[in-house]
Amino acid sequence: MAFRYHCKKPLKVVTDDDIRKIHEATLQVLEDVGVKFEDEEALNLLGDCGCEVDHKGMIAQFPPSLVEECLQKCPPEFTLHARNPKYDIVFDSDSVHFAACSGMEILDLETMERRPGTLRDAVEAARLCDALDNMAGANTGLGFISDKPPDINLEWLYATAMRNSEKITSVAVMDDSAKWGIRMAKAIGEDIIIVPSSASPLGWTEEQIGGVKLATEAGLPVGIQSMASVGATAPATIAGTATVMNAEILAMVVLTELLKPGTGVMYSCFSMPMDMRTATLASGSMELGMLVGISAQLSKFYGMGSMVFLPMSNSKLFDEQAGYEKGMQWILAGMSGINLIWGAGMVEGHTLWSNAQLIVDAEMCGMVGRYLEGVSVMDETLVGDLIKEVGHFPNSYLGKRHTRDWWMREQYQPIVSSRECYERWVQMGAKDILTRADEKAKELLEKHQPVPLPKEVDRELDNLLQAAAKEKGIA
Amino acid sequence: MIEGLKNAVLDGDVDKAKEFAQVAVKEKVDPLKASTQGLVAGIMIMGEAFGRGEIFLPELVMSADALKAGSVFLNKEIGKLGLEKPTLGRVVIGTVAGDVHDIGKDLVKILLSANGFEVIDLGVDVSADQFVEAAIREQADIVGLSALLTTTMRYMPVVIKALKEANSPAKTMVGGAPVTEHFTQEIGADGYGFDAQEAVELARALIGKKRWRQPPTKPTIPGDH
Repeated sequence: MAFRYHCKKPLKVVTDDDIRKIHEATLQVLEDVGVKFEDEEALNLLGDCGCEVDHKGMIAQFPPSLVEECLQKCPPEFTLHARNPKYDIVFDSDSVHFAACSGMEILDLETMERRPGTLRDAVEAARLCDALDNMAGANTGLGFISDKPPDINLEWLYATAMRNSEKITSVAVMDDSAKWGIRMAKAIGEDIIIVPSSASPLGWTEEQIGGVKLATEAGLPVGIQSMASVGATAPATIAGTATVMNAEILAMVVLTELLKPGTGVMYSCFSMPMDMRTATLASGSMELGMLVGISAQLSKFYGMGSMVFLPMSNSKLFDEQAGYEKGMQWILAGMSGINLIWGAGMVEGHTLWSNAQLIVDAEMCGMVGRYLEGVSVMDETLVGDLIKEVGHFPNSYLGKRHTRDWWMREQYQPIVSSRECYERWVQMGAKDILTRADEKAKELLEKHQPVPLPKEVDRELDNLLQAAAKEKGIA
Repeated sequence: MIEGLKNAVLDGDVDKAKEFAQVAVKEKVDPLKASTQGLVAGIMIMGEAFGRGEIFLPELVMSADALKAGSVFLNKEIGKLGLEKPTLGRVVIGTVAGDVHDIGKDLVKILLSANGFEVIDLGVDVSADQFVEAAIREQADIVGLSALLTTTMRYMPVVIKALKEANSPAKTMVGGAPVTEHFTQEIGADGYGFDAQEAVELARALIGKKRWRQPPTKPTIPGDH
């Protein structure tokens, strides 16, 4: 399994002409309707640079020329540097990386009961991400560490990820946790992913704008994420939602490039349809997969990076629904050439985590990665001479040197999928995929030791945790 | 020389296996020793490695091809000198009449050889008469029947009946994708190997406590004759 794959022929959910139409419609929305920025400083800057600003309504209307000008400032290529350069994440026209996302609760596979996550769970999740070759990021798997005070739980999450993995982590723009996340990342010498999210339709709150300011001040790229929900905070049509999503993201791109020209941007689609029967967000839906494809097309059209916090599933269990919903989104996002697909390990929106699901997702990523590696067509793979040599039935290719040399390059080797015959499977304990994956996770946790931080750096993280606690008035 | 034969099998090198076997014959090296300590020792190492999941099908088949290529020369010499190869048991194997699929059968053959059995392969599309004739001629301990098709596996009971009528003492084992435990019992076969590894376990069980058919004796030096 590789760490980085390349998508040479990205999937096109809509035609290039359709992308231009969505772009035109977006410019129209930005000019006529504008976008709400709940931040005076941002509005002043936008006003100074040519936007028409309604300070009372906090709305900025964008002249198309300003949008086009700022789009030109987005670098088409940039790199997020990990503690170990082997794990740098490259944002460019074709790189694809997979990573794990966070959950809130743990599903205990032995009791099938849910329980809050703990620091220990977060450590395990980070170590597993570190151990799995095709996981590019180590989000610690838990957005909530229940055995730490709630006000400082995100800071603990970041420190735990940094201590237990050499891979990059992501910080939420929530309260002032991004500030501490950035300080910690600086202390250990790596980049961190900051992803502000829109308030759809067509709005950005002060907190999220604050995240963009922090990122640009720190010289970090920004993941700009639209939350436009099909049918609820965006039109019921996919094209209409794509336009609202694009308007929200481009408006923030303008602010970002005005704050610091040349800042790298990751276009991030989180446009879940509203399920009209249950009033829930359809996180495992095909439409979300299609919108992700369109977001990849748009990001490539603009020459930006891209990322998504998915695949997800609406299933409450690690079952067939989780399997097909996540499998379809992995393949769609991978085939679309999203640079960073960040959704292994959880189901039920983003809430329920299991180490076993992380292993199953890593398996799917391996298979999608195999697709991305593509088919090599050349003399050595067409093997006319060999076909002539083996000739006809009942001869076979099994004993040929070419077979020995090539089969492993051509076939993805599953880590936990069952391929043995029924009786052998029974003999091996008749274990389902989750049981096998759980065993694999335990085996990896036992075997894998992440490279620890140097002692003085580790102490610096402790100091930062204490400083954060003090500032928040905790003990 | 003997090390060379073993390495030829480990590397799956047909040419080297042939070359070393011919030199062994020419230089009058004990052909039994060359076979058991060279070729067979090599395939046994590969068989075990396959069982542990350290090597895979292509490597194993290449090694088996090297074993086969070298054995042609050594077996001829063994026959000429009137010697008998030590073996865990002798298995006559074939794909039953009407069926020409042999990859599964070949894999069983390879793993049986790699575990100390002597295998006489009758090939594909083998009739009941041919099975009976070979079982008696070779004094087979086991007759192994293979089929890939649900249509052709119906020929298996025909072979088993013919073996019983001819009073063959050989045990019968069956295998192939459509074969099940239930079918095995229904047709009165002695055992069913659900995959090639299992076929080896089964063959061991069918041979029972009986160990080496002829215990390996002190190697005879051809010059002593």
